[in-house]
Amino acid sequence: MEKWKCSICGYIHDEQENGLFKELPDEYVCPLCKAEKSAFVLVGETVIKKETNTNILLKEFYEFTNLEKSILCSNLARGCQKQYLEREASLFTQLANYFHSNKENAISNDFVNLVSLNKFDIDSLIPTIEAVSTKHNDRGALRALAWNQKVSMISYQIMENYKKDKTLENQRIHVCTICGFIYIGDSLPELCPICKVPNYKFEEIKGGL
Amino acid sequence: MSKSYAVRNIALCTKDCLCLYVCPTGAADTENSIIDMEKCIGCGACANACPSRAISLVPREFPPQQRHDDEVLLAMNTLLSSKANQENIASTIDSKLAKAIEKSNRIMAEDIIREAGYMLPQSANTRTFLESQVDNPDIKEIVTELMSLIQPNEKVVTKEIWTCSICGYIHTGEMSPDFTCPLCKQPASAFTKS
Repeated sequence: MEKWKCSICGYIHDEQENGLFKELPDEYVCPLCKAEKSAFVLVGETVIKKETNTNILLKEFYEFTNLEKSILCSNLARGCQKQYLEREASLFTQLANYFHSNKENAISNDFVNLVSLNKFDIDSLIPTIEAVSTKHNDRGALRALAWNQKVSMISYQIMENYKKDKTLENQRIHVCTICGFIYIGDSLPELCPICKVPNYKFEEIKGGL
Repeated sequence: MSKSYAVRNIALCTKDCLCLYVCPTGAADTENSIIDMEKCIGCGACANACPSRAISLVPREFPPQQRHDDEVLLAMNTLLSSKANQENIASTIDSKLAKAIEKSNRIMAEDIIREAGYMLPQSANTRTFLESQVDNPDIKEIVTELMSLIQPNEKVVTKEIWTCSICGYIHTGEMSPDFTCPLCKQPASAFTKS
């Protein structure tokens, strides 16, 4: 009897209780985060990290775009809310809205580009930045990157499924407001599978259809 | 002025009101449930008495955020830029899933920018950002009010920006006389400060 672990959220499939892992259908997904069967690893087995190209060009100098200024300000608004600074939070939200209304045109309006950018993050960009952060022993950055990598991987899987089956949109969609994890379906996990926050911090996405 | 003051998380408050019983200054007794930080002396009696753990003490002055290496900061900004691009593309697509992806990318980007030196509204980085926006007439009032409300918790150091007049390479920080451009090997004299 073996144990299999979801590499995204850490859920354990114990063959003693849940049956043989290999006999599960190909469509099996993790009951907590809905990662695909291929995301599971055998407990106790050393996982060999996929070779990644960590030589991609990173920026040497940075100037924020208006959309990034909006992100900066909505983040600072949250920072003020955490300190219960209501007035300051509302002012930063106004700034975030101002920059958002002046944001640059999107580089594309194509779903396929969205998926390939996300895939690039997963395969190249995040591993590169992980290497840089490991070199500098930067745990804070590594924590943020770990969440980003997992959320991006789940999003990639959801977008790939959506390409095949558009009815996915008819289901309820929630986003974790702490890490960005997207959950499709009715039975929300009690804790966010990625950042472990209670599910009352999830926000339901309305509209669309 | 006390070093810290009490705050109430309204989402957790079950209105047992023991804070009112124990507060020696009446700071907890307000009509909008926000503890009066002017009256609060930071004694912590309310936080100890609260059965729903809705009250905690926060410092009046936060320590500066831990430093990240410049290389890490630039790398993080590269990812910020990618997530911002994805948020932007998703915003052009009319579907519920695209809305979720737009939101998800915003949350990831906020997390990245927090780690890239913008965790605290009181930080020198935030201050520098606000100062750089004060000349924009559309938002001058908002920015000025924020700068008067928020006291920086660390010294604001303005970084020098030098551009190579030959190849356009940008160097941040001080310019020493023996500096040469890493791209085109021009001497320090080829650089202009902006």
